[in-house]
This record gives sequence, C-alpha cells and structure tokens, in this order.
Amino acid sequence: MRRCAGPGLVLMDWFTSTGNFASIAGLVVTAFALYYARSAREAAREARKAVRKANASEALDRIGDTANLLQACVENDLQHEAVVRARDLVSDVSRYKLRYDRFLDTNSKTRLDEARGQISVISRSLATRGVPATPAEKNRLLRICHEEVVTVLNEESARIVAAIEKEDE
Amino acid sequence: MPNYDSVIDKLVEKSEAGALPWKPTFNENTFLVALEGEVTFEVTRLEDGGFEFTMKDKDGKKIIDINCHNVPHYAEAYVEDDRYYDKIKRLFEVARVIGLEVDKKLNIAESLLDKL
Repeated sequence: MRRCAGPGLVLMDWFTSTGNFASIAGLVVTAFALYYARSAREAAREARKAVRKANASEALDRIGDTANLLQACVENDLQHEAVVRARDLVSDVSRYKLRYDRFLDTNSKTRLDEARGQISVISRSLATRGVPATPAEKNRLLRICHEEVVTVLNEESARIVAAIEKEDE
Repeated sequence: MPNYDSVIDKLVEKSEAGALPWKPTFNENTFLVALEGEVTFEVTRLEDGGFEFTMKDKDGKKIIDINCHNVPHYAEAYVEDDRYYDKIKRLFEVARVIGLEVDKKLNIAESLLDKL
C-alpha cells in the first residue's frame, strides 16, 4: 500500500514532520523567552527596590546634614545662618513626610509633626532672640534638636526602609 | 471670621481629661501637641502677658492663628482675637501642667518635704 502512495504522500509526511519540529522549536523558544522575561522583571524589581531604599537613605542623610549644620551654627553663634538652617529643617521634614506618606502609620506621622513643631519653635526663637547666650541654653537647644528631631527621623527612616523591603517581598 | 470656640473648648476639655500629651519645647512658654498626624496645636504665653494659639494642618499650614490679650471689649485696643483670651489662658495652663508633669513633680516635692 505504502509503495502505491506516491510522491504526494511522502511530501505530506515531510511537511507534517517539519511542522511538528517547528512547533517543538517554537515551544522551546517561548520557554526561553518567558524565562528571560521573568529574570528581567525580577532584576527591574530589585533595581527599583534598591533605588527606593537609596532615596530614603539619601533624604535622611540630607536632613542629618542640615541638623549638623544647624548645630555647628548654634555652637559658633552664627544667628542668621542658624535661622536659615532651622527653616531648611522644617521644610525638609515636611517634604519627607509628604514623600513617604504611604509608608507612614498614624503614630509616625504624629511624631514627624511634633519634630517639625519643635524645630519651628527653635527657628522662631533663633530669629527673634538670637543664638542662646549661655552654654546651658545652647545645650538645651542642641539636645532638643538631637532627641526630638534627628533621633525621631532616624527611627522613622529605618521603618520606611523596612516597609519598602516588606512591600517588595 | 470663623468661630473657633468649639475646637478650643474641646481641646481644653480633652486636655483637662488628660487625653492630650502636650510637650514642652525650646521656648519655655510654648507647648505643642500633634494629633494623628493630621493637626498640630501650639500654645504660647507671650512676654507682654498675652497668649498665642495656632493650629496647623498636616502640611504645616496655619489654619488657626490667634493672638489675644486681656483687653476688655469696650476698650479701644480691643481686637476680635481678644475674646478668646480666657479660654487660651486656661488651655495654656493645662498644657503647661501636662507638658512639665507639674502634678508628678509636686508630689515628689511633697514627699521630700514630708521626709524632713
């Protein structure tokens, strides 16, 4: 029977085999493409996470630098510079709160508002009364700046970085 | 001008009930409290005997800004804010008591005196 089939059927078999081979090759290529797409997505997610964490740390570093500058200005009796730095610090805390709003719970937002309020009072005091004259007053100002602002921001920043990591898991 | 009586009355009432954690600031005559990350209240006793009360929103914008003095309403120097004087004065006192933990320190002083 087979011998009687003729060249037409042989050609058809050849086409069928080639088609099957092409399907299998297509599947393999698709599997590779899916694998690489997945890896690329994973890499992009990792990169995004790293950038977010770096941004959060960078924003905090900037606030820390401003707080250090304010401290230096107070220690060196540079009133105008100290007022500018205190105002910068108020703006920085506001920006920080707005930028990371979705990572902050109510308690964190309240703490940041208090920190901003404390710096705002210091800023007004520096503008109207100047840099504290006595070492005791200077120390009190620096202690408030450190405990009520820098420490709070450090803690909240650590929470934000942890929240970013958790969100991407 | 909006009527601030209601919010000030509630603030005094809740403060007297001990529900608000007023905090001292660098200015010994200023106390502040932040609520739920939404609003911040600040009360100050001014050097001229008057009082200042502010409420800021979550972005730090002033929503209420009252500067009041003990001026009778028939006096020429009387301004609209002066009608809040008694309430703000009461608020300042309760904020000071909470912020500086006055009651606790009075108790310590009394027990120390008792030991003498």
